[in-house]
This record gives sequence, structure tokens and C-alpha cells, in this order.
Amino acid sequence: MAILATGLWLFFLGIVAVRFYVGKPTYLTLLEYQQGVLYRKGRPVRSVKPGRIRVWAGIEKVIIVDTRTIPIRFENRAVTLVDGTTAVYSFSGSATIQDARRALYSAQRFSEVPVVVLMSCSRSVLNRYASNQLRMNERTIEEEISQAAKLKLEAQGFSLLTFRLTQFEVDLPPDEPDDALPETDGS
Amino acid sequence: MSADDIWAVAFLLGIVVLLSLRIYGRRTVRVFITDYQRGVRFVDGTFRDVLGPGSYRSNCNREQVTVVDMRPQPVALERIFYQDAFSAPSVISIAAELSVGDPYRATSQLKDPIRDSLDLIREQLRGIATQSIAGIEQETRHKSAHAIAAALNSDLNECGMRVANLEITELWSRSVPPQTTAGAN
Repeated sequence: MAILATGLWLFFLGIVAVRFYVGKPTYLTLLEYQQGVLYRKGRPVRSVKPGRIRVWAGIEKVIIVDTRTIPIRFENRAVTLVDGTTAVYSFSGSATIQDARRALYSAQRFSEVPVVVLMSCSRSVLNRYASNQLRMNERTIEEEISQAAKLKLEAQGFSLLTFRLTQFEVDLPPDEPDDALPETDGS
Repeated sequence: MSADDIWAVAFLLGIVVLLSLRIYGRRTVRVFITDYQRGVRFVDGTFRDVLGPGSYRSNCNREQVTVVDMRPQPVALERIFYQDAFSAPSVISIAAELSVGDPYRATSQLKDPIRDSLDLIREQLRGIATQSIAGIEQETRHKSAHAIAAALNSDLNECGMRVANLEITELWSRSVPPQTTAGAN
């Protein structure tokens, strides 16, 4: 009897020690618009799909990635064209996460990646053209911005769904610093 | 030694183990560091070491672990007005990836590493651009971007930050004759 009691007691102590050092099993449910990456002792083990998964709390952790569409909309941006005139443009678009793991590693605040990419691509493309070319080839330029952004976003695990230049005007006097359009950052 | 003695010893040892685990567990917290993070550990207020990926128990009475995200953060600085080397009004915009290079320096010198670095970059960029002449050709832009990134990194390195993949997205100066055709793509 005493030996049986000792065995049970040691078994109980073993469970307590495992729970202390390894952690306890818990369950986590990922919604249909979420994906995740399971980490064990700090290292990525596997990607996790929506559903219920078991996690050893203490040594494992799931980083959840929201894969819902990211809407992007910017209005009244100013850009100086190659001929020195200033153009005002607005754009809207949307992007989604295609590869949760790559998107997770792409940036600290990875949902901002499509925003910054579209901002920089649109400015970069528009700055290469003169005002008369832009007026004539608005659709082509829209396509060029879209292609440039698509390539950059795909490399980071995103997919560009839509992009549209909603406003484009070349009516501001050249090289006048515009107080209404202050310098901004994409952080 | 009889079976009753073994049981008594095992029971007492178990109680001791349980009590020590409870006391130790109450004094420590779990810190989980993923492979894109680092933990800067301070013991009694003094920097001890930088923790790599893993799951750690930290003594919350004596230790403090600050988790630093090492992933890059894309940033865009737009419409920075300055005067170039000819004192001509000019404008520059850049896009870059900002990341933590040295977690200890970034933690101890900057409250918010990304946001605080942006102010530093904006000022440095204006200073660097002021000493140069704007060239709108694509090749000149690439060279300028490399030069700007190198200059920014030498300053940012002091506070544990760095920039990478810097791209000049907009550049114009009154000193450059206006063009009517598209620049090199």
C-alpha cells in the first residue's frame, strides 16, 4: 500500500514539474479570416490554418495574422513632376495577405506594408513623367504604378487586389512649398 | 528501511519540491521571444545581456526584460523641402526600411525606436541633400540613395538603428533644367 501511494505521489509530482517547466496544454481557436504561425521555444514550427489547435502554453505561442482585406485610400497628395510642375493626385486600392508567414516577417506593423508600397510606387512613377505625358497616359500610368506595387507586395507575401488613381490634376504653380500638403511619413 | 519510511521520505521530499516550485513560480514570469525579436535583460537596473529566441523564466523582482522587434518597418518621408548646393529650392521624398541593429542601444537611447529615428532621419536627410546637387537620372538617383543610406547609417548606428533599401521616390530641384520627356525608367 505504501509503495502504491509513493508511486502515485511521485507521478503527481512529475505532472506538476512538467506543467511548471514545459507548460500546460491549452486550446486556441483561429477564426476563418485568421492564419497563424506556431512558435516553439522561439522558433517557427509550422503555419496554422483556421480552426482549433492545441498549444503548450509556456513553450509554444501562436502569432495570429489577420488576412482580411486592407483598404488603402489617400487624398490630395502633391508630387513634383519632371518638368517642374506640381501635380495633385489621390488614389485608392486594396490588398490582402497571401502568405501569412512572409507577411509576418515583412514588417513590424505588417498591415502598413501595402500602404507604404503604394505611396512610394505612385510617387516614384509620377515623378518620372512630365505633365503633358501624364495627362495623355493616365490609364497607362495607373497600370505602371499597379505593376510596380504588385511586384513589391508579392515579394512580401501580399497581393494587390485593386488600385485606382481617383484624382489627378496638374494645376498648382511649380516648386511652391504647399502648406496644405505637409510632409508626411508612412509609419 | 520499511515501506512506510520510504513513503514518509517521498512525501516530505514532494512537499519540499512543491513549495519550492510555488515560491519560484511566484517570483518569475515567462518571457517568450520569437526569432524576430530579442530581449534586452537588465538585472538590478544594469544591462546584463541580450536574449535570443526562446522561452525564459525571468525573476521579476530583480530582472527586467525588454522585448525588441527586429523586423524592418517600411517608412516613407515625403516632400522634404530644402535648398541644394546652388541654393536652389528643391524637394526630395524617400522610402526605406528602418530596423533595429543593436537592441541594447535602441532600447537605452530611444523611447520609440522607429518614431524617434524618423525625426533624426528627416533632419539628417535635409542636411545631406543640402550639400548635393539633384540629379534626376535613374543612375544618379541610385548613387544618391546609396550615399544617403550610408550617411544615415553612420548616424543611426550610434542609437542602434539602421536603414536599408533606401529609394528616392521624388527628387526635383530648380537648378536642374526642366525636362519635357520622361526620365530613364
